[in-house]
Amino acid sequence: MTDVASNVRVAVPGATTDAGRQGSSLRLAFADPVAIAGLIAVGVVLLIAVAGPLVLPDPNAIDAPAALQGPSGAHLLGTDPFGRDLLSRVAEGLRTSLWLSALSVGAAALIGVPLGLIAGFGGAVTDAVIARVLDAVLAFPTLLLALFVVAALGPGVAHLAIALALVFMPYFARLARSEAQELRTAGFVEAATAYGTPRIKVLFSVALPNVLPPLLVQLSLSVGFAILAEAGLSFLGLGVRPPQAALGLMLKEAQDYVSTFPWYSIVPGVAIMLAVGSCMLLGEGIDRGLDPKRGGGFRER
Amino acid sequence: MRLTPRNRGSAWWPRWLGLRLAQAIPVLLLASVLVFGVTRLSPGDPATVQLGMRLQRPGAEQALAALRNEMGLDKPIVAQYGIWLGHVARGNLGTSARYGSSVSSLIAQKFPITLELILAGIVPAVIAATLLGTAAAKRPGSPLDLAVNGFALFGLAVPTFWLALLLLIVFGVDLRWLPASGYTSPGTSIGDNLRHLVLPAASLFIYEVAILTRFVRAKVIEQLGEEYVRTAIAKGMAPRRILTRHVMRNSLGPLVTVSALEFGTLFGAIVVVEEIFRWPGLGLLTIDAITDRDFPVIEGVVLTVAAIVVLANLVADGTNMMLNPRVRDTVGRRT
Amino acid sequence: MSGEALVRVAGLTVTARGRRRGDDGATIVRDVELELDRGKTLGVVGESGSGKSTVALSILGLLGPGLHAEGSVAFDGRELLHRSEPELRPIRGAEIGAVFQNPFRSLNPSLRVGVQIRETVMLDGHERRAAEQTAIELLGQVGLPDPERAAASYPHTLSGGMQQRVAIALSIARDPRLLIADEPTTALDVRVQAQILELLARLVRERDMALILISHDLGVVASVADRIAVMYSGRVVESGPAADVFRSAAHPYSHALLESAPRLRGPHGLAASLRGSATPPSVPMDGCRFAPRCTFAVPRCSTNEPPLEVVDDRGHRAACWELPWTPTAHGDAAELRKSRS
Repeated sequence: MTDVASNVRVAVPGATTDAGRQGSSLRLAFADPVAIAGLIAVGVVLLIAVAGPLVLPDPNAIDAPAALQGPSGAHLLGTDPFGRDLLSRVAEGLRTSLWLSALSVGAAALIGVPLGLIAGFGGAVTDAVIARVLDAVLAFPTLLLALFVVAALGPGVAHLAIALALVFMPYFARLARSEAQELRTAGFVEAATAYGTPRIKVLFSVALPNVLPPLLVQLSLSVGFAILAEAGLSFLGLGVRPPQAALGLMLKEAQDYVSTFPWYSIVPGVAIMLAVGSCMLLGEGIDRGLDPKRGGGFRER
Repeated sequence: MRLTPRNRGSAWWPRWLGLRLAQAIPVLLLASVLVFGVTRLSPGDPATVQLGMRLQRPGAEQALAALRNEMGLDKPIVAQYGIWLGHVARGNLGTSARYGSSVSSLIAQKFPITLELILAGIVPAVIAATLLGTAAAKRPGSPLDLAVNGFALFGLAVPTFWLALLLLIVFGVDLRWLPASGYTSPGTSIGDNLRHLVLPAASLFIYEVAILTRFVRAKVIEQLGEEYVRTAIAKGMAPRRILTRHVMRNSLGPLVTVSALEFGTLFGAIVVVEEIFRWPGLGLLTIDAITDRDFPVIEGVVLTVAAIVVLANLVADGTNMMLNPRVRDTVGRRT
Repeated sequence: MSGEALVRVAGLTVTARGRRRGDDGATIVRDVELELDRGKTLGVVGESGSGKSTVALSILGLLGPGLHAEGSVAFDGRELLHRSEPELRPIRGAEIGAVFQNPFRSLNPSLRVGVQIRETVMLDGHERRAAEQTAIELLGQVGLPDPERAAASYPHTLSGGMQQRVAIALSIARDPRLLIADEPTTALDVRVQAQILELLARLVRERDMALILISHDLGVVASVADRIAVMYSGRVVESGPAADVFRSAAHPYSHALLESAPRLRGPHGLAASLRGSATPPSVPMDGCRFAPRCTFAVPRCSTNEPPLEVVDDRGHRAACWELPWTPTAHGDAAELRKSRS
């Protein structure tokens, strides 16, 4: 467990230095058993999503006589009301969910991180303005804001991606901002500035690598939350439209069969849970690796 | 605490309130810009968007012209925002296209219904999370801790709406222990009201317990590593008292802050939960409004919720200040 | 020393559990021997990382979950090591008090000072009102000018020196027979350091309390200690009556420490005689752990570890192959010393 490592560190002052935090932090992050479990889980979900369509039956092949069946040899996870193979549809839905979430979260990070760095490194006014803008976006509950944006723009995958990018952006900006604020006074940043390196270059060449490890944590967690949000919006009929397969959409259809065929509600839900859970496991694992102090117990110092 | 301070000094809160309002007001203004802007992104003439289904009614032409004039659509966009903000500030959120009544009165009518649901979800969650998180933190890595962590991860990963669906299937449809959907006002029958409340509140509860338990666990573990805990052990205090008296006291403020944030987040989650259980609060109002493209209602709800979130955070911050003398004394030195 | 010692630490070895199974773990403290009589003061001196704080925490049973202690810690004839938490509780605070380095972090930031002391007094079953009175008296005893006002304050409103006085009041609130002060003055201004030391010395005298004073600063220990133990890289390298250790340090490291203690020898510290840094106790090595930095090392020093051997019949012991090590026996140091005196 990590707490042992932390105790060794603290109990032997001078024996170890903090130098490890910079270079080896990423390697350290992926050394945590939870992170490894998360990596494996994410790998499995990706495998189903990517390889699934290659080996599984056509997710859109309608087979009316075989409708609403439980798991069988022909259909491993059973069929939906149109007799379509549920496993194929889950794989297809996972694929939609994953790329949509990854795309939105990626966009959120691409906008949010530079914004946060500028706020953290910039003057008081710039910082205050950006901070208030972020607070304003954060004043809306994630799902409600996404819902609102999609409602205004109209349903559809592209609009959904825009909405998700907007709601996740502040989290990345906030993260980058606090890291930048911490780094601003750090010796090596001051040194780089003193040597006449342009501010903007210091910003991206020095600060960015430092933001990277916590950013990875935020990325995996956000992809997890984005999958949840995507499913929620699709469930409400505001995201992915039929006939494209989406997990939230399947659950929406399943709502009509809760009493007659509850199995239909279970399969996509479990799929969402596994996809989200693996992302969060990965994020948690990286986080634990980055901060070995989080072991608990009574530390000595 | 019996030891009364003689050095009461000047009250901290006027200064604190001033500083916080100076932040909250721009945030609210920016939030209103966002709401105004996003609405204007909606394709079509803004007045048409506002009127929605009322356009099909007789006399729509005059109404449309009047509304165009009222919204100042011939003026620059900034002026239009000013006009809109003026209305909002006076509590005029427009007229619902579907109900024909004022949006503010609709919201005022639905808000208590939603508040009941949210509180029924979050208050038990805070209590349960405090117990579970503390128990887990006492022995990190123990079977109990692993179980609590596993459960918390499950609660985080499970989609609220799916959980709601499962609860509905199991307890509402299969077992028929509780009503599957609908709402009875407490004025009509308190028992009926509570029976309808259980399943939707449980859906919110499970998610919140997961989030808050993780938080409490991390916080307590962090506090247990603090040196004052070592002092307390060294003076011979029993672990239980150290937890309740020292650790909890220092974890409570942050827990209040996070609970307030979660209280706000739940205004998003209720949309799906209310839809599934047909709980006629703000969430269902929003969903129905989206279906009907009843924009004044959507805008009004979103704006109201943002104001509630900002207010909730303000209250949480104030509570935190009361609980934490050190932070309180640095008011003004923080940004 | 007589068999009546209040504290007798013997063969104390502390290891950090290895990260993997089968890993023996790193040694932090090895084979420490300490003895302290009732009402006396023992100074434990060493650089940071020498294991002196670990020894203190072992006595209190406060080692972190990753650390494992072996050997013996006898307090008043009772073995403390390997006691369970409930078995240790009646001893902590009531018989052994503790003061730590950082007074602010040792106090609960959100409880008033008086409340923190009151709850400590109440652990002995005193009633609330009486305990509150005692708390205020204690604050007076540790030299706070306005005890009632201090009792009503939060820790962060007090200065560092005041905070440490409060922490000391807290540690003696249950009238322990032994106080362990781990670097109690390190976080404080020089001027305040002296006051705190004076306070500790006075309390020890008035209450007939034994004190283990741990410091990296020989000067701090010099003024109060009856006996001194010098630690280096997890080992006790010299111990004995304070006067003897000061007058005729038997270990080259102690000697170097004395030379570099500015308040004892004047400002021209001998950083030169202590080049490099100490080998962390966790790093395995053959021979004397001080050998790499020792000006007087002979070949044997780097192959065999010297045991703690008797220097004279007053209980003065040192771990050095070149015993009786005296500066006069070695040319360079002899001249050095002459030029000083």
